[in-house]
Amino acid sequence: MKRIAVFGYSTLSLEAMSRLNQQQYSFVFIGKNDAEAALIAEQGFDAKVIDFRNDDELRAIGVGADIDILFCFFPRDFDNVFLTISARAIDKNITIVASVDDPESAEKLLAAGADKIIDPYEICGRKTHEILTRPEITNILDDTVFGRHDLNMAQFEVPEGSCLETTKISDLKLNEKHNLILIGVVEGALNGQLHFAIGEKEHRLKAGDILVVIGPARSIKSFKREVEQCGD
Amino acid sequence: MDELREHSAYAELNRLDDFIIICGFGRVGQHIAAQLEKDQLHFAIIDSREAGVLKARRLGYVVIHADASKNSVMQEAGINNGARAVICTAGDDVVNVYITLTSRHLNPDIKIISRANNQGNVKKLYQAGASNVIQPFEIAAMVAAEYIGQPVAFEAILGIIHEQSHIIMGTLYVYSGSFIDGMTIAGIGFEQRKLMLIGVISANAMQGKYKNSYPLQNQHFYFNPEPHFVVGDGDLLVVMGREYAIDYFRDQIEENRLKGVGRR
Repeated sequence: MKRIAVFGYSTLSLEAMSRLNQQQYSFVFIGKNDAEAALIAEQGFDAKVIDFRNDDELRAIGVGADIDILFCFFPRDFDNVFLTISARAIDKNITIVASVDDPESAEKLLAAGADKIIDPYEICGRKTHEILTRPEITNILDDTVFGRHDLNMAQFEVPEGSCLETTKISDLKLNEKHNLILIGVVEGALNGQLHFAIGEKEHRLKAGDILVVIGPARSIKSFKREVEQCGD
Repeated sequence: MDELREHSAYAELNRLDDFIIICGFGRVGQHIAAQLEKDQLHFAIIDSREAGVLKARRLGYVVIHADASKNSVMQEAGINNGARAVICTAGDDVVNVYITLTSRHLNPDIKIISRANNQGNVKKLYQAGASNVIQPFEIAAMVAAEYIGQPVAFEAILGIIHEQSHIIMGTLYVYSGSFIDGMTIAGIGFEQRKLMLIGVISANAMQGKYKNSYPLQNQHFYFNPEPHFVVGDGDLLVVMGREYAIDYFRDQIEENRLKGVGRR
């Protein structure tokens, strides 16, 4: 189970915590004062009050130890920048997701060490544009992949020694064999090159490649099992 | 001077027959305008705040300095004369409800997309007549949640949705009499056309016999349909591929339909 520390009392914090499956993630909400912590505790989440500007207090709640992910969702950008810089200095592997109010702060947050920037106004603008120009696709993705239906997106890493190694993308035929649509393959880490499954130069899988798929939860589960076992 | 500018904005809108009215030019309104400009779609901004109006003018947008909740302003802007959608972007839900209600009252058929800043107001906006309601913080939370779960998959799919890659998602309409009307998925041959079929949206009750069906408003979405799935009039094929490959196939369906009509 991954542990997430959520900083900043906001709609975004509450929504994010309620969206994430509490069987996969455990949360600790960090408020600036007792009133904020009490409001979050009322929703059933563990809540604490610390001074986020103090590294010792960050360590005391588990930054650098058992906290895997940090949500920096303070309303003020400079609080998020300060928290990001402090947390990144303590733990170079922690995943930091930070929200911005002013779009100009995005670069500063990235420079401070954030992995992902969330700009609610930009996202809202994009969404409106999508509904306006491509309503059918937006509806499908909202109701299925991003919604609460059983259709999901998933990623699988090709393990070392897997039977998938050296397989051509075009030979996988996941739609026929596993009821999954293969979107593409990302070489290595997050910023690796994405090879689309369609109309692209042929790509042979190697260990560390990540398959990106869409499909029903049960198909994803059974394919995951197969990928894990096929090299044994 | 202001009156002159206003007059020229109204005159420009009068000449158009397909445009979008954006009410409010704050952070959200600005993002929407930038996207529509990129798409080369026509739009007009209505904002009662001088700062918003000046900013929109500096960017060269058609802008009306007025209160969008007034019937006369929306009528002059063309809500019944060429506008196809109204977007309410205010940070205040009270304002958005009022503009939504005004717009729906003036035009029962127009598409209205409204922002809701507070979850409790979503229902009120639908009651006021909104076609779609967008909640910025709910969507932002979804992005955060999806990102930490499957960052690679999420960024890849987001890139496609936002059309940031050369591969996009598109839809193809199955017209009655077109060559794909009545064809099976296997017969259409998506792979040879360099397209990937994600699924089919259909309101056709006959399709109910197929598996992988997900309810979608008044229709169903059939994910990864089997090779023997037969597409019919009114179905919408959801495909992924290069834009030109999607456009080329769309043209073929259209051309073929026209020939079919000519023969009748």
